[in-house]
Amino acid sequence: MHEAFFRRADAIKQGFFEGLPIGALRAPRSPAGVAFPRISVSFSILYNSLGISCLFTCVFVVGEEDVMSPGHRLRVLLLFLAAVVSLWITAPVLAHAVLLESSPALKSSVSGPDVPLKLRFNVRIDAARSRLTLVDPDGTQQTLEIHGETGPDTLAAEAKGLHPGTYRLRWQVLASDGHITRGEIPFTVKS
Amino acid sequence: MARLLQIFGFLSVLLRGASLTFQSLTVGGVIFLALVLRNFSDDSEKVKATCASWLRRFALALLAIQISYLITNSLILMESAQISLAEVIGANFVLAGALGIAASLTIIALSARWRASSAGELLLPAAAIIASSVLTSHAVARLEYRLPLVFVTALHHLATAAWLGGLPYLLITIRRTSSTELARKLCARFSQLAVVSVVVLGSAGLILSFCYVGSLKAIYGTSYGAMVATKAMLFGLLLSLGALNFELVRRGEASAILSSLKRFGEAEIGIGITVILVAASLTSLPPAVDLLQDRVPASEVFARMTPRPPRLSSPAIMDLPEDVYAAQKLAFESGSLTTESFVPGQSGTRPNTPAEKAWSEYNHHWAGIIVLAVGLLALLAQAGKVSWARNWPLLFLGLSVFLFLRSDPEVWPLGPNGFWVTFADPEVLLHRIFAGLVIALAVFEWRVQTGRVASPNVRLVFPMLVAVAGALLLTHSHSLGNIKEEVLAELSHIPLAVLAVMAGWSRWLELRLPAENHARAWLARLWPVCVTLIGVFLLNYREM
Repeated sequence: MHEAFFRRADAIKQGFFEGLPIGALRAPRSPAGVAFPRISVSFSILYNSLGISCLFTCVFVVGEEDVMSPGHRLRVLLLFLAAVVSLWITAPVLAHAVLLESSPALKSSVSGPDVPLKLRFNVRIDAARSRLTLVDPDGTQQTLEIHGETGPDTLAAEAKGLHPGTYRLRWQVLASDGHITRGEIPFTVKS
Repeated sequence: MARLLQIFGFLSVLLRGASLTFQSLTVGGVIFLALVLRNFSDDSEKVKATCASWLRRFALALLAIQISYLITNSLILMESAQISLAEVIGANFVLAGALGIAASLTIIALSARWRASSAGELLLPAAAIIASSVLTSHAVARLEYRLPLVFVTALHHLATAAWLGGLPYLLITIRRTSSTELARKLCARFSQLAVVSVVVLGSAGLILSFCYVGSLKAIYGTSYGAMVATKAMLFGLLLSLGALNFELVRRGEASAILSSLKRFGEAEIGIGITVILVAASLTSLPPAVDLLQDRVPASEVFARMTPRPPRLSSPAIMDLPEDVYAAQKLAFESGSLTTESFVPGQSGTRPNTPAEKAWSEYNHHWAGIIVLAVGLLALLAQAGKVSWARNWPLLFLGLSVFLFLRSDPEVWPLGPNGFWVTFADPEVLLHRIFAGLVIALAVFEWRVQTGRVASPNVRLVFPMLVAVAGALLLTHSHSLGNIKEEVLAELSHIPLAVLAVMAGWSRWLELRLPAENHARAWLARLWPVCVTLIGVFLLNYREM
């Protein structure tokens, strides 16, 4: 029991403090639930709904009063805080900018040592505030210089001097509407 | 920062939802003051001052939300892209945020020293708020038809604000004014504004749907399309309530209609906020036209939704993955989860095993049986023929125990991990707390149903909870791209959510409408029917 406890606690701590993607640690188990395919989602939502319903109810109930007494204000504040805290606990996954095509393609093989990189998205991208990072087979990372002269939806760069092996191209883009999105393209460089 | 990174995805949707809501309330207030309260006699000054005071509060809330959004997005961008604050400042969302903040501050300042002539001065900052919102919408990032889409989106936001954002001010003025004649005039004038707004809203919505969804197949084949259809459904629900209001204003006696009008208005505001939350969720999804691969074909939707006998036998617990955390982490590290787009701090999910799916279906089906029984007993209780049927909330106790046992199969009492793991994992802890809250809710509503609670306001907790749960279920749109299972899950959630919203607000209206309003009779039947249907849908819930 204690072993399981510490393993899980370590995993959670790692997720909290080392910034690992939350989905890597919060598994999508799919047992019970009232209306959802995954219990983690369903319970989080229902729990949050309790918090928010407290907030909404207090707005309506207290709203009937012409003048709020200090007691009423305190109650509203506490319920509001409860709602906010409950909302902080959940984290569903959402994204906006979508990678439409890339070169190299996902899990493809390319010839080295110099590899041109091109990523096309579904929306306008703020290239100056976007990033391309190459992860070498040994895990070292290098930030690539993004070329300026590309279309509004495209990021381009060139990775030079690559040895044979499996690489990962990590991208992060800021869409023109302010959404930040990221992803990863694994590819192999042939000899 | 790590914690902020983890919740960033949800936080941005939440902030977007709050921003759209308070934007509508602020701009709606300006329009209400400028158009509905325009040229009224001196005795309406008190009402105008009250509206200005609420306008200031909503603008203040909008200001706080915009500052929070700006700080959060900037911090995340600086941290994740390793860029300086100076580089962030030129970003589009920063300029939009700054514009919104300046406009909110102007409205706060102008409404603080309210005078009759201020209404016109407020229009410019209100327009700036709409502009700031449009600058962070889908339209501004589109590659084609950018300017027309920006214009149509601005109209969409403006009409939403005029109608839904103006409604609370109408309720405030009705409550504040002592003159029924003035109240009636206000209602009539607001009705005209609402009709125009609805036409603009519907037309703009149609154009945007055509551009962002693109085809009928995308409506059921993608999450974005399904959510747009849901928004249209809720819009229809709002229109029905609006039509009831319209009829009341046109034909009813002023003294008799006002209290009904207020109650319908409350439900309209609630459903309106639900629609705005759905809209906020939509802005975080890629438009359906951009997703051309892996759409769910109609045949798969029919196959999934075709009624089948419920699964009443559970798979053995030994068949479930022993350590879901390790499995998920392994899947992430092996790179099999990295083909999608994510917001910073999040990643994809591991596909469930057949045993996990069967476990989930079993749980949903038993939950469905309980909810179905709740709905049928509530229906009997409402008919007044069977007195013991009023005890239906006690069935939730069974649901609570069931969820407690089955929600986390890897943890005590069913799983190999001990009781203390409950406290190590916030998710498991939440589930346990929630099981306790369901018990509290069951006892609470049972006391209401059996007449042990007299306070009229306290009785509103249950319908509010149901309505908000439905709204949140709609808000949680979690499909990243065209993962078919996610879309199918979305399609199974939508009817449950819409029914929950309907059940909550019909019960709310049943409790709030004056006794002489005839609508109460059918509303009293409507919510148990909705609960019953939720049970039926749960019984046909499938994951494979």
